[in-house]
Amino acid sequence: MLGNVEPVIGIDLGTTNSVVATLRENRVEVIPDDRGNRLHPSVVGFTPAGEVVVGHAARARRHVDPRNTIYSAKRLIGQSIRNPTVRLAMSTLPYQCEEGPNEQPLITVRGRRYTVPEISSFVLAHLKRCAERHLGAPVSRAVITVPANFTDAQRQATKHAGELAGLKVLRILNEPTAAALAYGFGRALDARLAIYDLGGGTFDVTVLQIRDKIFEVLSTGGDSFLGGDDFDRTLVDRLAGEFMMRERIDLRDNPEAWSRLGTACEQIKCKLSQEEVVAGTIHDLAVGPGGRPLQLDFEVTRAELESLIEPYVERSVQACQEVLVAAGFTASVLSDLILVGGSTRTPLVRRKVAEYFGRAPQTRINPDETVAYGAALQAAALVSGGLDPARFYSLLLDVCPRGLGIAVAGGYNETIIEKNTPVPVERTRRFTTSKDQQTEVQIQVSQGEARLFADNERLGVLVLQGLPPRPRGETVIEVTFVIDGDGILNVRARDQISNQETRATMQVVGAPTRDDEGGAPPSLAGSGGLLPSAL
Amino acid sequence: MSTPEQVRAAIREFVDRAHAALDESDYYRVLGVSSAAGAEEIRTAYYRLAARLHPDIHGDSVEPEFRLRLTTVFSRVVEAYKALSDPRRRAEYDEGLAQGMLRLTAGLKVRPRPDQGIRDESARRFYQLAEKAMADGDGRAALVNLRIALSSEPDSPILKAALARAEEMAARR
Repeated sequence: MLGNVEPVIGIDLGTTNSVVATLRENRVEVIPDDRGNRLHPSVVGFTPAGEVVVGHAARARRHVDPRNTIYSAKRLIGQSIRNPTVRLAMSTLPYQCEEGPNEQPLITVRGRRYTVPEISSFVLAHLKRCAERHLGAPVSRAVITVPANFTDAQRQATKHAGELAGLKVLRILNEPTAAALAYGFGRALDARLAIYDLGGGTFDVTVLQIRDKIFEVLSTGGDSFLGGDDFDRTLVDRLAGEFMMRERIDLRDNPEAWSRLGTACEQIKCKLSQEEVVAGTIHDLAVGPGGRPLQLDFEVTRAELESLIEPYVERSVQACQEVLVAAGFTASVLSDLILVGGSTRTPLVRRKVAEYFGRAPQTRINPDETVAYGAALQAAALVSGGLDPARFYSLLLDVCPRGLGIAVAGGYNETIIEKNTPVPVERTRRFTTSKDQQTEVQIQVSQGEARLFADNERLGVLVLQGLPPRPRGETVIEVTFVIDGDGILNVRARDQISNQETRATMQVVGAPTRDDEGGAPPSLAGSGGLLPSAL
Repeated sequence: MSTPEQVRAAIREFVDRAHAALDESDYYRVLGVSSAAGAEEIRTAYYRLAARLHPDIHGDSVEPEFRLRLTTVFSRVVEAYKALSDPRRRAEYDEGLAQGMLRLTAGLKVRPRPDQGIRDESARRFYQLAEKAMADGDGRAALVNLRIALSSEPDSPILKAALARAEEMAARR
């Protein structure tokens, strides 16, 4: 039936690896690259010849050419470079990254500056090409997944990356929700699930209810800077410390060595999932007296790794508790526990999570591919709609993972849309001018639940322009905040007196300005007090 | 069996009617359940409506104007469901509904005390009196109190904002 329709794809755009899948003849297919690999490293390499390589070809360049091989872009996308957690992530990246306009990180490679969405767009374009070759048809529409706790800005930047890659982004989908779609596909279920998703750089936990192809997310939470990379970093610190003690050389000063140590630690961590002890040698880390190459002999036990990473795992269990409370559940009423993300292979993680939820995790779905699988299903559901029962795959009732608020008098945050509200959702608030003849008002917008505005994540400034000049307090603007199915904020505004639409634009912090990819950057200067009127 | 086109037409008619009646409907009416409905019945009603009104069900072929209305109606369904599916909120809602409040909007959380930003003791006292007057719908009494408060702290943005609200309220009466 879908024979003549252009195929749609689902993309799990990961920190470390990406996966692309499609629904064909009622079966989900994971799409390989031209060498048959189903996991595509999210790495972009810039060769001396001026070529851009992506995936396995790029990953092979990481140690040869670390300064021109970009990975972990997902840790930077849509974020302010001033964010302390971004700075921490950057401290371990060997490539050059500095502050651009609007606080966004810009990456310099071979004398050219790239925005983070541009880097991610290379990965997405690669996946699009893989799909086109595999399916033998053009592909122009996709669902792309993101961690549930991604902010508005991170979602927008991801969507933007998709567009730069020539894809119409049908939906920005939350990763744990995608996993649930995959789990529930083709089965008549009445179930309550917990999805624990620990990837390379992010952690999400989601509780949802499934009934008759309807997937209702009850609550979601997590930590946007917690993942397997933190596990690697604990090992890197431990081994770099050992090298420092023995050789009096700080490996941080040498990006090539630092990058090799990082990869070695990742491998040690993975091996320790199967073995109790891992020992070996990392060669050519530095040059010693007389030009002698220096190496590091190491031995790490699983118990040692577990004691290093335990605080991180505990943090994730804490988040599970919060999400269950928000869903109004106790762990005992859950029908199943799903683990997603490569880092859930770590035995300590499996043990702690099983212990907390009081059950063993299910094993019927592949943790590496399940998110892309769900994304492919959602893509199919979105293009076919749901009015024809024969083609009704599923309906997803997802939530906004963070509250949306505005700054009000006294430095407080007024919540406009609460965390865990099903999307799409809209809320209307009325605002008045506070100065005579005021024609422009600015509203500070944030995401988060803290009482004080400054304690939340600053999203940006909402600017209402072209207001008719009137005495203060006379102009009443009705502002409708809409969080769409992508979890992205849209705003529209209306002047209550003239009943005219008012120009309302959001200026999002950390987003590429038009200038960086051609055009003029928006100005954040200027002011005009705007205060909420009585409710 | 009705065709997808017939279903679509029926939903459109429903959405238009619901959209027009939103401001007069309480949450029970929005969900189409009785005020005695139990948790399971409320969830079932929500799922039934979601399967008709969620914008995703309509694919990406609907015109933007209809999508806006759809989002508004679906959003109200969600609001009703969120309020009625949580026993505490439902009790709070029922209490307000008995006094004619159709929506549970403000007051879900403890609201911040904005007067903490006012430094002057006496200004704060008159500000509180003004807020109380506004809560009672008396804009003119609020204006009097706010002017007194502003005389001791003329630069306070909180007081200025409150004054703007009080003026608006007084002008409407």
